[in-house]
Amino acid sequence: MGILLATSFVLSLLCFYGLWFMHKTLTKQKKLMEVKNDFFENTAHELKRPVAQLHLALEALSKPTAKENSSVSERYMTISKEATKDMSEKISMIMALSMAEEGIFKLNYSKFNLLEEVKKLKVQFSTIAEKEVNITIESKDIDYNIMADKDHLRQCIANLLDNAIKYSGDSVKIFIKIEKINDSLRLTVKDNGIGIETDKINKLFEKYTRLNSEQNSTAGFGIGLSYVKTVIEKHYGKIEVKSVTGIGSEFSLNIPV
Amino acid sequence: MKKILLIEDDINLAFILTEELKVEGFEILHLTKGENALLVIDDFKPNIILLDVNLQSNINGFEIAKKIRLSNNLPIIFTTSRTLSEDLVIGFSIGNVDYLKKPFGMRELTLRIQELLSRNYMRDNQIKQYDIGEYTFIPSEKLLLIHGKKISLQKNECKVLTLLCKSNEHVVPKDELLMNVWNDIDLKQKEASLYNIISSLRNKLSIDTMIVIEAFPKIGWKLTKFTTDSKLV
Repeated sequence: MGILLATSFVLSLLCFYGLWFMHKTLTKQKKLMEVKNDFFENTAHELKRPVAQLHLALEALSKPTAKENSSVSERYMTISKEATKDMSEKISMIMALSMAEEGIFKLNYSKFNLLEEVKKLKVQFSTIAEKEVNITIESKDIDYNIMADKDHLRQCIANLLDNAIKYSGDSVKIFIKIEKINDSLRLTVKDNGIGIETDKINKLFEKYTRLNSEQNSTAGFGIGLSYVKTVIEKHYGKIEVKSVTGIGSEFSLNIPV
Repeated sequence: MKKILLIEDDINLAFILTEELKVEGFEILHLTKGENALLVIDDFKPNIILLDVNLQSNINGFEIAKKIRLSNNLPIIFTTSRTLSEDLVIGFSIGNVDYLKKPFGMRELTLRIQELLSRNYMRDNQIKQYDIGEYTFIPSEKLLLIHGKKISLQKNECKVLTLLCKSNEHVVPKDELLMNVWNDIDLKQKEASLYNIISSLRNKLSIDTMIVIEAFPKIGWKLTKFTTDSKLV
């Protein structure tokens, strides 16, 4: 009788444990699904921006009246090209994230001068319409050559510059510094933007989340920064961020040479 | 010339919209942020607002719309690339709004602008009261008044009776009634509901025997023997 009772008790415990474990697993899966759906929603949203621009620009260019104003038509053409490039970059980032998730993300290493790439990006980002953008690069007499994936690294720095401009006021001041620290190059991008709240900094690089999800989309953070983190970590590097709300943010990439 | 206040932080999109809406004959004022919208509305006096839901600022398009709604009832068209149904609930709860999902074409945008402007014009110029024989019909209150007695009308009864009154003793086609009440003309199952509405209205209007809702088979209905006296309440 005693043995029967003990056996029943043990079996009941096992059942309860099983139910608890199932509940925990299902809850975790449900949360993951919600977070992933959030990511897909954000991804679609980020791609819809350039698609919307392209759609309207091409529609306007196809009208007979488009020829009447050549400066406006030229601007529409520029917008179309930029939108296509934007879409292409975003799709590349999404694919990189997906491949990293699958464990098949590979870097194409080549030797290049990091300072030269940053200077090219400075020219590209200094001419943003509607905002006054001032980018300063601090350079010292060091070896800026690095062995890395040039395209992905370039995209990472472009993402940081893009965010710095997006989340700053009408007068944007960006300070870029590259320094040699042991066997790494440390690239810092500092801005005078709106900053990031301390409790959100930890979530900044989470793959499937975005800041201010209840308030607004804060378009770009969901994919851009998680892509930067993925690429830098693939290079066995590190990304750090410091930020003060109302003052600005500072992102640092440490990349082994 | 109708004026549009465009609140959109995508500079490229805003440029295209501004140029193309100018071609359509609108005057446009573009803001990249919504924080100054209220001040601008007082100065610019737009007829309609085009508002991006996903503004990259500390407050989103819905918050800005709610602030605007506190001081006026300007029609607002939300533009968004989001698909969440919760957004629709929030947006439409603000009232006098419409939604446009990105990407959209100019034709769709201008049609929605015109429709919303037209709807607002009709509302602002609506006749407030009809005299139907010995009845007084107040559409805004969904009420029929006769000899001191109040008769309540259902929402759809009110819509049908308003159309019949506006037609001024002309036949109102069945399709027009279906479109007005259910926003569709291809609803066979709704026809039965429409017949019920007509029957209910006849019942409610039966105190004054001079009032008749005449049926014209396969065409529609006509409200006869009433005097229209348009006046503000």
